[in-house]
Amino acid sequence: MSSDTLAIITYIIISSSWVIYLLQEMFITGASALNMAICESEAERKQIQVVSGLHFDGVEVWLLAALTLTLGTFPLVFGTTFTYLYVVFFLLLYAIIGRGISIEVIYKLDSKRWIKSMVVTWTISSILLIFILGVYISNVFYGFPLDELGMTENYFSIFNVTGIAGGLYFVSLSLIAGAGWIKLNTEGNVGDKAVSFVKKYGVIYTAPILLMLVFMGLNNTDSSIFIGELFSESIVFFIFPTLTAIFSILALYMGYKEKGKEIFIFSLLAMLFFLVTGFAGIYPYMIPSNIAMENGITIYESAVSDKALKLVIIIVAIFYPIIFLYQGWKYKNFTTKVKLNDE
Amino acid sequence: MIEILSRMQFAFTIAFHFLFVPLTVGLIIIIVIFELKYYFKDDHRFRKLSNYFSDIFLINYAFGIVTGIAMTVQFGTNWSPYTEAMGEVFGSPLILEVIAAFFLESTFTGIWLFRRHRLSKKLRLFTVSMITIGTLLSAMWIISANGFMQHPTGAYWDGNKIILTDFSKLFFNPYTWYMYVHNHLSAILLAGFVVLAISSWQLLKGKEEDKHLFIISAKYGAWSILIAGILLPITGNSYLDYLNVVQPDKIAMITGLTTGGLKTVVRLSFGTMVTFGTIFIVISGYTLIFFKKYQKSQTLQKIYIWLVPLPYLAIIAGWMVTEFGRQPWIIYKIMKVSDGISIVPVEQIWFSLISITVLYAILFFMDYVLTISRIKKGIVEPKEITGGEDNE
Repeated sequence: MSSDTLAIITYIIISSSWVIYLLQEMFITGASALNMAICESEAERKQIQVVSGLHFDGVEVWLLAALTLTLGTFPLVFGTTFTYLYVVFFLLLYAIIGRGISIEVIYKLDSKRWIKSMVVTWTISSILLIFILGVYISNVFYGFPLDELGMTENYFSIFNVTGIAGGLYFVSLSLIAGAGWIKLNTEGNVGDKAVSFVKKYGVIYTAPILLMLVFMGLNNTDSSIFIGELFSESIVFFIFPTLTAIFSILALYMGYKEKGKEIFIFSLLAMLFFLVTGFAGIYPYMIPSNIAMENGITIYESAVSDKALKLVIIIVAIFYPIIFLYQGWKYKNFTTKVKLNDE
Repeated sequence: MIEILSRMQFAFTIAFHFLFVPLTVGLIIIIVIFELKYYFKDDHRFRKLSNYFSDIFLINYAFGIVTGIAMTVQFGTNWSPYTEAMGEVFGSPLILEVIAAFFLESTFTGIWLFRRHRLSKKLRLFTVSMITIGTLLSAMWIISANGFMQHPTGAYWDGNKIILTDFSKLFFNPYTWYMYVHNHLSAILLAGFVVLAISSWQLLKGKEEDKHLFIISAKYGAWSILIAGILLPITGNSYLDYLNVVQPDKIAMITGLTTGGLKTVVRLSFGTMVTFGTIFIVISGYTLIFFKKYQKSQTLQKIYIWLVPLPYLAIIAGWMVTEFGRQPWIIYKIMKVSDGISIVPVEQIWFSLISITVLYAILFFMDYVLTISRIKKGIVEPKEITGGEDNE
């Protein structure tokens, strides 16, 4: 296999790891973020804690997989992004720590004050986590202010309109997916309350609008993904953004009808095609530049040696199927309807 | 300034992370032994002990895993020249740690935390075994990353970056295996010490009806200390012989041939580690020989509770020998620490250093309160299976 093919395969592996991570994270975190809005008792909150906590540990590792794969195969990309977004990645780290600790320790002490503060931490860190991820990922698709010499602005530049709209789009989709997940996996009222919450407070309406904002923003730069290598090569690629929009609207429609299973599926599909649009759009860049296309850092120039790429591809080829197997086994066997305590 | 702050930050975050890791990787081995006893002998005393120590394991695991992510982040934020130069080789053990170990640990820890009481005996053993295998593997991979930094093998330096030549040489780096065995034994010793101390507390102040259980766990704790305590100097000795060949500078620091600054710290740390190691063998040996006396002696039980910080200090001292001893190199004889530092605005590093110190202080307090309160609650039999999580 040529060096370029190896680099492309690795790029697909990393993008897929992001997709697998974000698709799961959105409903796990969305369900968590809803807890304060819909739970009337600790028994109900415990249901949400179980439906998200049971899987969150295993899901978190997909993020680590995406990050360490980037570190090991495209170290230049890893180093450049992290130094540039120094503060942002620390905020993301704090959100991960806050969410990871709080979800596991809410009921470890009987004190009401403890429970309350852990619940607040859990909620805020969940929203922050998915928002920062949304801002970051949208900016990867939007491009960074890279000129020939390096980044021209500081980390704050990622909080542009497109980035913020992307962050909110992630929050919106994850609340919808989370409501669907709660509805699918719990007994009692909490599922209905979640689904009617996303309808009543208009969360379902925001997804298509925010998506439109993001796409408009992405389209607006000199090196837009919509005029990138793949999109300008074939019009067929426009099926991805189209599907993203269609599924966002379908999630809205099913949310309006208060259908749990459907909003879960359609919000996940919307996220899936949003990510496919972006990762296909930026190809062959790993850090696209929104100043001038040729300033971006490509897959080929940042990849490590063929030998190291081959090694990583072999590792993934061996272990990913095994991981799918046991994580699938876990979803199948442990995703049963969670009862209310007092039943 | 940037260099000092980044070094301080990494030293602080990794030392903090390492407060939780040795306890969990050692404790899970003791838990798996309890589960094996329960599975084969159907002895419910061991199920109760396993549940009890699992609760303590899970609290510390939660803190350990999230504080570990801080390292991955810092390789990019604070050490990007290092990562860019070394990613090709340093990356593969990190990737393997995540893909071949973390997934296993985390997926099954979720089950253990939330659904433990509805598992069959067989599934209990299976779940705990998977977590154990996961922790054994993840320690192995991360230490092989460190092994490469101590003694680079299987790669060459082309002047700008490292190039992988032979993965099997990277993996079978003898340095890694000396460290791995030594490190894992020390984790077992530490966990054994914690188990012995907790059991001592229960014998002193716990519920009368559960004391017969904690006599068992005290014995297991003492045996863990003794076995690991005897094996540690044996493996340590051959580790030193090996160091004589590959890192003579470190040996010179340990023996006091070179002194001053960090070099003196290395010698003192080594002395601390060896002294504490000797104390552990004496204590555990005494406890096991005079076990009847230990059961009755409140003084002995109190001493064990008060001595809990010692194994932590011994482990930190050991790591200080390893890490200070390779200074000024980040990759031994290839790249200096000062060449690996990211050039970022200094106020950003101040931001991360201050915020992470505050956050970690809160986390430390939380972990302490949670662990102590769980220890004091004693054995709790599962109530009727409800909707919530399966632990106390």
